[in-house]
Amino acid sequence: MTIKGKSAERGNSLIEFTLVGLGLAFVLISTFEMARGMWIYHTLAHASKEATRFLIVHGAECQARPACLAEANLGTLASRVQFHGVGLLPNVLTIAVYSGGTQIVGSGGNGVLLSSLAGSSTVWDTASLSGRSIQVVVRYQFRSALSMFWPGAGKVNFGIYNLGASSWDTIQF
Amino acid sequence: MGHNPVLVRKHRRNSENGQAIVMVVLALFAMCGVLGLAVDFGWAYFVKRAAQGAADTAAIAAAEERRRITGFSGPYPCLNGGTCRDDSAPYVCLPSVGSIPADNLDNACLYARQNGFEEAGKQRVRISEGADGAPPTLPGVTLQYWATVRVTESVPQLFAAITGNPIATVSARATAGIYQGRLRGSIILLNRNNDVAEWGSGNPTGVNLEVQGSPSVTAGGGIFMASGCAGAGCPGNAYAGTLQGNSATVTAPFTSIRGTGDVSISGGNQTRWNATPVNGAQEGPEFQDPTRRLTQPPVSDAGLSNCPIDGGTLEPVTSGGTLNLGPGNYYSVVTNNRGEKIPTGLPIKFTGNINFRSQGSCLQGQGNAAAFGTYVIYGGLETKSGNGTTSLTFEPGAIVLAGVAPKNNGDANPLFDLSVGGSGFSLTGPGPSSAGNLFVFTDKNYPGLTNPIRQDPGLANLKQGYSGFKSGGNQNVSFTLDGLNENGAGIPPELKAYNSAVLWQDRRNSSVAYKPDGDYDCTSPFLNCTKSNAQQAADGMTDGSQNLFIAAGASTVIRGMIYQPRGAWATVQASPGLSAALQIVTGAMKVQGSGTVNLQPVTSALPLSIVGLVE
Repeated sequence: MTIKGKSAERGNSLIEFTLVGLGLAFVLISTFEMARGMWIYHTLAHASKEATRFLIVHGAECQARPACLAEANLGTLASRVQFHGVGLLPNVLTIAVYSGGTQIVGSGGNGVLLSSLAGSSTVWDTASLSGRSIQVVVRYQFRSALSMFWPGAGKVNFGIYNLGASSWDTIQF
Repeated sequence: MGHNPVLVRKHRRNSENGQAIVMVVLALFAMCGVLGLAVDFGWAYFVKRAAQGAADTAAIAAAEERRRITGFSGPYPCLNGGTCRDDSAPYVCLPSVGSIPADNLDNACLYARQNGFEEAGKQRVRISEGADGAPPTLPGVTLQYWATVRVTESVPQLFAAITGNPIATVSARATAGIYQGRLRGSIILLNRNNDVAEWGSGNPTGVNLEVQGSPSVTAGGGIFMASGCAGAGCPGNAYAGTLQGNSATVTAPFTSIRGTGDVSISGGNQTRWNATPVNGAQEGPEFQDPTRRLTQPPVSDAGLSNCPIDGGTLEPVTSGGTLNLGPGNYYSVVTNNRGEKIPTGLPIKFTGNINFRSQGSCLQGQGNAAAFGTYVIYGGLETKSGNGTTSLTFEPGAIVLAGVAPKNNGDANPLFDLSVGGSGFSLTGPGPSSAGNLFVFTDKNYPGLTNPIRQDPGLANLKQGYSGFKSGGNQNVSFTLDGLNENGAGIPPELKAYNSAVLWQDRRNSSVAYKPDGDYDCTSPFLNCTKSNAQQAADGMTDGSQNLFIAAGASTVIRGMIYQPRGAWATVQASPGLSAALQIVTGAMKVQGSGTVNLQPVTSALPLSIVGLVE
């Protein structure tokens, strides 16, 4: 009887593990992806803040200092964003800069890819921007494995979520 | 004899026994190393970010507090008995820094501690400072004061400890400074959504700029508008800017509008406002009163002689001659039958050639281009009716128009009225290289006025009046006036902070409440920073007194800055034309007529004391 009972339960653990494992895998991946998303968002926010900080110390006073003027260009700005945006991919990261509501990097509310700014020597008008507010808006395409679990998602595709962060300050110096 | 296949399999299994554990152990070492490396770098990176934030705020706190202690005009020597703490002997934050800082460096330490860093344990907070020069880390700049904060923390290492480096030092540095900026923009319009401009048609609320008729307005330095009004949601569906008529134009390199504010262009080509105004600007200093944290210009009547004007008329003794006036308190009087001179409070009328000299006193003015005179005029100034020509010539000095009696119905009267009679008027200042002129439009209670004559019953009814020079339909008026020049000979040191100001309207003559230091007062009972009718009356305001006239006469050259507080407004008659290096700071502005208003950038604008990060 004992042997017969064991035989009858054979395979149950596999089914149970499969059932539980699916849920566990979902929770595990969800947790990981959420954490990764949060990490990317915070990195994005930090990069945006550092970009703003870089801009506010490159205002009118830059005109008199060659060393300052030499780095007051979009290429240097992009490298600052890249440096502080650890792990962010420049080909899915866009940046837009506004001064007093006027967009000075990007157009029509859209930013430009960070990768396209690498090495750019375009200089912003440090003199005319001084004393005015400056806003940096960054957006990042976050590809998440979480969407594969979405009911009715059909074939497995990694979804894209646009994360955004912005920071502003006043160019004084 | 062949091999037993079962034994071969067993032998092979036995020979592989233990390999997995070796590989796992080796892999664990590598994984632990990578894990340690990740933790080391990650934690150090996190500490670096926090340290940078602490250094930034501490540096700004040091400079801000330094300016608060000394005042906004500077200079800013170091507080340590004038000795600055340089890099060789930086200020070391006290571990026991209290909640009430002893000086600006202590204040910086407090901010660093609030952000998680203090001079204790594994953390260090050191500050160096300097005055009138450049920080060593930023050669080539000129700062009135600077403070460099260095924040460091020793971070224990997991992985690097294996290589003999158990501790890594993470540091951050920030430098903030006090430096002099200059007011930017040609037209700075301060009114917010709830501020009223009483120029008719329902007393528009939330309006900054209204252009009517067919004038051409050019603002070479740009336009700032602080109203967030864009139709719906604002009283009367007002817009921050309104361009009416088919041929009126506004030209500026930029028009920056705070928040959701917008412009309405009716009739004609929609591109008549060029460049296209842009809204969405964040709240910032460009939308606030640029003179905040400055008191009103400190013009004093201490030591001035009283100059009663008999009959209330200033006129040269001989036709074609010149009357020389010296500094003094001027007011109109009548002589009673006992020979007493009784102040009347009526406007002083003038005709002929009159010189405001910077020395001497009363009717015996003496010329001195290097001196700076003060003239306080009670009751207002008014041209005398007649057909002659009148010229007013000013040597460097401040002219305080200290009140005018309102009309019988309570409406405001002009403080400086050029609209009465005459065939031509000219107002001429001492030229741009002199110390310049400052016209203060106020009442008899302006801060700094202490002369007992103000209490005379004859002057009891003097209130705030219209500012500016009212010329009405009389276009045969020419102006050549220059604002204060900080480099001009004889300018009082306390007025240098008001460089370029040429017309100044008393802040008390506004529907918006101001603190003495020039900040808006939005505390109770000033809802939306607005004064009640009773509070306006207490400040001497009369109906419509917040208005300032700018008349584009036959030849109008006013160089410098015209200042009105938020809650006031200017009406500009653009006929035939005004063209000068001029900035207009006001709450709202209406331009009408058919001429031109061409405001060119100012070469030496109002100095602004700015505190900010410099690296």
